[in-house]
Amino acid sequence: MSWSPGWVRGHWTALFRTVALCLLGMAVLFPIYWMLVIAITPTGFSRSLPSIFPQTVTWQNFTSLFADRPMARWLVNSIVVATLASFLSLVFGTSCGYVLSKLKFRGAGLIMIGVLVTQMMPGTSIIVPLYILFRDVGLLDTMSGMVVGHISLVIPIAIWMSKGFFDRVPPDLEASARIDGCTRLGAYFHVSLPLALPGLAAIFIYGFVTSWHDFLFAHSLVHSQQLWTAANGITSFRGQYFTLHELQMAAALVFALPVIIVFVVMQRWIVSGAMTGSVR
Amino acid sequence: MTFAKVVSATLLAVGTAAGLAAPAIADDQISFLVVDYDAPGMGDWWQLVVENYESETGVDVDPRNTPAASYYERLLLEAASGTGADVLTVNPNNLGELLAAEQLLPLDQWIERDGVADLLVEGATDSLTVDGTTYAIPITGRTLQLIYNECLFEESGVEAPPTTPEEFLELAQQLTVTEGSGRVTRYGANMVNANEDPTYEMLLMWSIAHGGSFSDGEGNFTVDSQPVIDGLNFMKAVYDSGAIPQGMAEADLRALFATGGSAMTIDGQWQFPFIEANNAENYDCYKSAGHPWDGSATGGVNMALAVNAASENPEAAWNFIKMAVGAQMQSEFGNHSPYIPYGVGAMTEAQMAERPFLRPWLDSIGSAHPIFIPLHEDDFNQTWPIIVDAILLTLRDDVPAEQSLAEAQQRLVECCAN
Amino acid sequence: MAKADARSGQRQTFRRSVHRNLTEGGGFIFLMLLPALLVVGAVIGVPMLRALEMSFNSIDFRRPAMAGTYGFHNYVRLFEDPDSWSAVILSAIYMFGTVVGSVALALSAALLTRRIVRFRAFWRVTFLLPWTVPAVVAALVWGVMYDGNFGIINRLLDHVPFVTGANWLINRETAFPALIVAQVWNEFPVAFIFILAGLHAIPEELYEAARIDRARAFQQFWHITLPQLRFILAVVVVLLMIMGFKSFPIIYILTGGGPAGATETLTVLTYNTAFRGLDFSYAATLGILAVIVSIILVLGYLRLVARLQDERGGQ
Repeated sequence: MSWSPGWVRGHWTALFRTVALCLLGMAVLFPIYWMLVIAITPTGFSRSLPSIFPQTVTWQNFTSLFADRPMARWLVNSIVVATLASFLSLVFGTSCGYVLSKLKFRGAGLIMIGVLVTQMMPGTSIIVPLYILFRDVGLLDTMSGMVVGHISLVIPIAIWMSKGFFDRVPPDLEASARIDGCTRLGAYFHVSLPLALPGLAAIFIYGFVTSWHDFLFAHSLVHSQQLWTAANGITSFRGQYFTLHELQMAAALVFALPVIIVFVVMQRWIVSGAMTGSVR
Repeated sequence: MTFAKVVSATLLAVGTAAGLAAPAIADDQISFLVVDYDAPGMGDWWQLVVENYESETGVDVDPRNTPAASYYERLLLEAASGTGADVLTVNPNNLGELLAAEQLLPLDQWIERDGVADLLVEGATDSLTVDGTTYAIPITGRTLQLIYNECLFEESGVEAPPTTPEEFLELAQQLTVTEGSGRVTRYGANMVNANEDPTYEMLLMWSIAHGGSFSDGEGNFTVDSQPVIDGLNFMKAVYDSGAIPQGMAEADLRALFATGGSAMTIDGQWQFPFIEANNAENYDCYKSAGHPWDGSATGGVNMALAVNAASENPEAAWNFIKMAVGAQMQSEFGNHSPYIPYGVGAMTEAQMAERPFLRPWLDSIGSAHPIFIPLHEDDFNQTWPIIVDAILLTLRDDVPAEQSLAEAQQRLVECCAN
Repeated sequence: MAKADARSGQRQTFRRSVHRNLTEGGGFIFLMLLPALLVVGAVIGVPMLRALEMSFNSIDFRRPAMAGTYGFHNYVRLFEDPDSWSAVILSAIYMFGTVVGSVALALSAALLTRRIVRFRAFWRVTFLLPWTVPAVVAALVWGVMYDGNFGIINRLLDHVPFVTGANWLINRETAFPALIVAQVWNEFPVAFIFILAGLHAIPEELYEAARIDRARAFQQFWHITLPQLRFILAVVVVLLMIMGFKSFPIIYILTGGGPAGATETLTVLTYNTAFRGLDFSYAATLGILAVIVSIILVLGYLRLVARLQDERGGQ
């Protein structure tokens, strides 16, 4: 082992990185830890927690979620809606983003700005017209209404992001594929999509979480109990007189599980090297 | 995968989603906008009413369950887009708005025909009657009364609950426990002071305690009058005494009190079932007493039922309401709901013996001062933020009560003078 | 026979040209764009246009007879209303704070986790976790932590010498920054995931070349990472700008726009106008204002980025 300056510097950098990473991770995780502490506190007692460590530990909040509330149904609804919405937004959004990235045509810039503008209006300003629209086309209080609504929230960002990722795909790759006899569509599927995979994974995650958390559609345009999603369920712990913090935190942690699974599965696609392999 | 396959898969997916879509609307069905239908307690009672109604009339009820947190938005949204439920849950504070929007059917004819007035305690429909016409039937009521933790009183050597505002402040300080680091481990009392409408009711309460109110008999605002100034100065003294939590939301204050984090509160009877369920070992410590001042309590009707003016089935909707206030359902009320019912003799001797703490509420329910400003029924949502702004300016920014209330008075006159 | 052949040949050419159009030309563009634009246009575009119409109308819940009175009265009121302008400024500050905070946090987290080999999934999920928390719940957790007396933040600060906590959400000076911190915590993972994906889309060769040049970490970042990331970063900033300008639950639950209007952003004001004032037309007008201000800010930002890029390119 040689104590060359480069070695020392390298190790100091590594150490610094690790320490920084741990500190940042702890800061980010602390509120989650606090949610857990609240969730294992008996109902009502979380407003005056005296110490950083939990005092009385109970798992009753978690069990009562499933025993007293239709937690499982909320979860299933959310999973169905979020999966459909994120998958469809990915399909529609990336095809749009691809065209905007690789083909030159008039009005492209206008479309880019136009889809973005749809996201700028506060929910409260369009909720009444939205409600009337959904009533008129029969989407009120339906699961497909929620799916369609969520797609409209995700697509603009999917378009912008996928355009960004397709821009990074070198044009000569597609060109060589097309010389080999691929159509545009073929080039899209066989060359551009695989190369933009990290971006697609990120877009899917974004779509899933956006749909998972949506209040605008799930909350205002659905009233049947059997269609409630996780977002509705979470707010129902805020009762007329008491907010059941402890149950709500337990519910939030349980509701996070499917999202975490999506994270774990999808993040595998976010890797370097896909590009490198094909350039060579 | 080809594009065509993607498209067909997509269509299939959308189709499946549409297949999951719910309900069909039938003729022999009424919809019912209900708060916390699935919550234990009150929700159980609503479910009981719905079951009974369905089996007796053969009409289906489609309960539109809404969490309390989003009830008001849903009510407005549905009303504004003409999709309101047949039976609406309303509150005296928003009744005026719904009336102005021509959303409610007058009920007088039916009340007379079915003798419903005799089923209700006296004065029950006063806050739901505008210009002599009644638009809703009260189901649940609440006022604010003193609730205290006797065990903590004994611990601090306090013998009896306060009966005047001054005593309230004095005892609150005596009951507060501070640890070495200067942090409070137990507050003497609760008094809402967050940016939300219960803070408005606190000032109303202490203004009544000082002999006034927010308006005179003709509906002119009197927010800059001496009793209200005294009330706000009293609130300021309580706030600065360190005996109450600062900035905590009402719901959190309730949980704090229910778990021994504060020693007394002025609140509704719903505290008791919550304590019974969540702090059972100390349940016997909790006692109720009348409000600590002379004059009326604040509150009154909390949930009332009304018939949507646009209902296609108003008769069926009325029958639902009739069922809810009928003797049979009212006698069940006390077994489920933490509220005060409006039915005559709804609480049986046995039910009362089981819940002696309810006495102050039952006694005050007919005579309570309404929360909205009388003759300004349709302005509640405009008036409370103005008054809460004034309260917070004085409590948090030390603006003299005279000054912040004078500003509030002016804003009230500008927005809502009759 | 020959005729039929010719016809079928024609048909084939026609079919081929249609096929060509649909897989290569204008038809391809149209088909690829259609579903997305249809959904966005129908679901959000149409209600937005109706909101625009409403902003010239007089839809006041309590005055149903007024409906149908068209004019510019809501816009006149907008210009005379001091609340709306202070709300726009507060929203802009809030947006600026959350964008800067989120990008800084997300960029550091993404750079730190990027080359990690061991426990990679763990670290990535760690930085995504705050995103699993709905804004409503995030607001409640931060509310509990911010409490002046019982809050864990102040209790921890008690152990730090020379530092005293504050009543974070009550003081005028600290309320707004406290909201921004909670918001950043909740939404920075959005930026993190896209920046991370962007980092991994950068060809490794670029760094290998730099390594041979023994470029320092910072130089690598400045000359390779940042330029390669610029479009993704720009989109992330635009997304965060829109999210920040529109954010509602955290502000509404934690302060309700108080103390005395100190945190009343444009969305909170819009909400209060609609659901307390019951003036849906004026609420729609405030929504239009939000859109106009957002467009100005976003386009301004994109122009700024483009100019900076030109300058860099011109070096």
